[in-house]
Amino acid sequence: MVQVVLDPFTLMLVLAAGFSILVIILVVGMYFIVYRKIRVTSAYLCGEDEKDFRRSLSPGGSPMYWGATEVLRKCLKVLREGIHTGFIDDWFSLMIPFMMILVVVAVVISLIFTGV
Amino acid sequence: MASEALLLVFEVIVFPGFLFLCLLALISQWFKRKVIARMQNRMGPTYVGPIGLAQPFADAFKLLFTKELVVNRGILWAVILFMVTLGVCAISASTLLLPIAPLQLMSPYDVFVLIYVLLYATFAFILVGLMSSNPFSAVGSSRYMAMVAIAEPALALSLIASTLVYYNLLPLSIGVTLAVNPPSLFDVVVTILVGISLFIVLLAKGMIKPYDIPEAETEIAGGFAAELSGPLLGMTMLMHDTEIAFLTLLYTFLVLKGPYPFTLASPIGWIVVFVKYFLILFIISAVAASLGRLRIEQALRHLLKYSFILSLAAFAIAIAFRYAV
Repeated sequence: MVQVVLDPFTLMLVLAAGFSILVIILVVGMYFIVYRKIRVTSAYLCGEDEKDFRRSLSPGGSPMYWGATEVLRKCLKVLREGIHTGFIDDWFSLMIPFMMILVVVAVVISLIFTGV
Repeated sequence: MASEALLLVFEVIVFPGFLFLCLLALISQWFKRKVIARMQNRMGPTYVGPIGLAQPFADAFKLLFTKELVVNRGILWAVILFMVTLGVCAISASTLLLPIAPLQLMSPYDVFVLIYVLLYATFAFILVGLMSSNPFSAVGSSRYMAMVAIAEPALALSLIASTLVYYNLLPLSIGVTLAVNPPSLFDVVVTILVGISLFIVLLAKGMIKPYDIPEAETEIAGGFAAELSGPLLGMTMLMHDTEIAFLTLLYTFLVLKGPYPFTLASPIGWIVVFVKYFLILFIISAVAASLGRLRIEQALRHLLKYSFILSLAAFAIAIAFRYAV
């Protein structure tokens, strides 16, 4: 048994490197194992039907909010049906592309202004 | 340099990392099931392999490779899978700090690295329940969160107290504390307190009776694992078993001083380590077979009274020793 004394920063780097190698191998392996055989069933909603559950959703809000909902009805409808479903993965599936677009826009703007 | 890097990769993937830890975890699971079964006048795993030794391997293989993954719409299965895999990898990487690693790593203040890396598995357990879109899973996760809110600080204080004893060799190094042979006389006082505290933490973090409240089958349908199936359940069980195996191994070196009175340079030292390891597992199994499940508030009171306060006392004694010498 050989003992190696490192400084804390190097130890963290070495552990993180070993950790990352294992993560890459296992995540890729598990993804290929799982991806072949996955079956998605309807959501568990304490006995409620999913359609009833979704129909009962309403924009709600105070009367001041009413004007905005009238003006932006189509936009809100897209958002409500897209992400206000009660499922966090719907939110993720809309927000992640949106965030990616924002990152690309931020990078393009920074490139333009820094003149690179 | 390149050979050392290759050795580290070997350590993380094969020994004492992922493959060794999985092997040890599954053998430990068989041992635990067999001891509990015998104490309850049952046979336990019997049919697969000699004396049922291959039963946990068959279970893990079936879940990981043959069963399909059935998920409800609304479950973030990919995130759960990623988090659970991260947890297994974090526990595997932590083994580089143990003296059984051919190239044992250590550094000043490495105890904080160990505490930090072990938290991956804790967060993975919490997220498994919270992302499962099931009230039973959420209840299981909330119970687990309540328990680790006391168990994690107790674990951290116990580890820091143990490392404070050997502060003069290398400041707050868990690597030195685990490898030091023979232990100092003063170490005994701190180790007795740390030993009791860590044993309770091991039961709580391993969700072993009487602290199996987060995965109570009869009460909350399996708790955080209620919605899991196939490879996702297999990987979560593997994370659970590897965490118990790692904490028991850590306990063997930290409290029972590993191969002492021998060293790991001789084969008898290795035999002593594994005898101590299975002795701790036997005690854990005996406790699990003898006691019933506690209620959550009883478990929290137990953890606070018998684990956190003892680890705090060990920490205070270790600090006093540090400044007295």
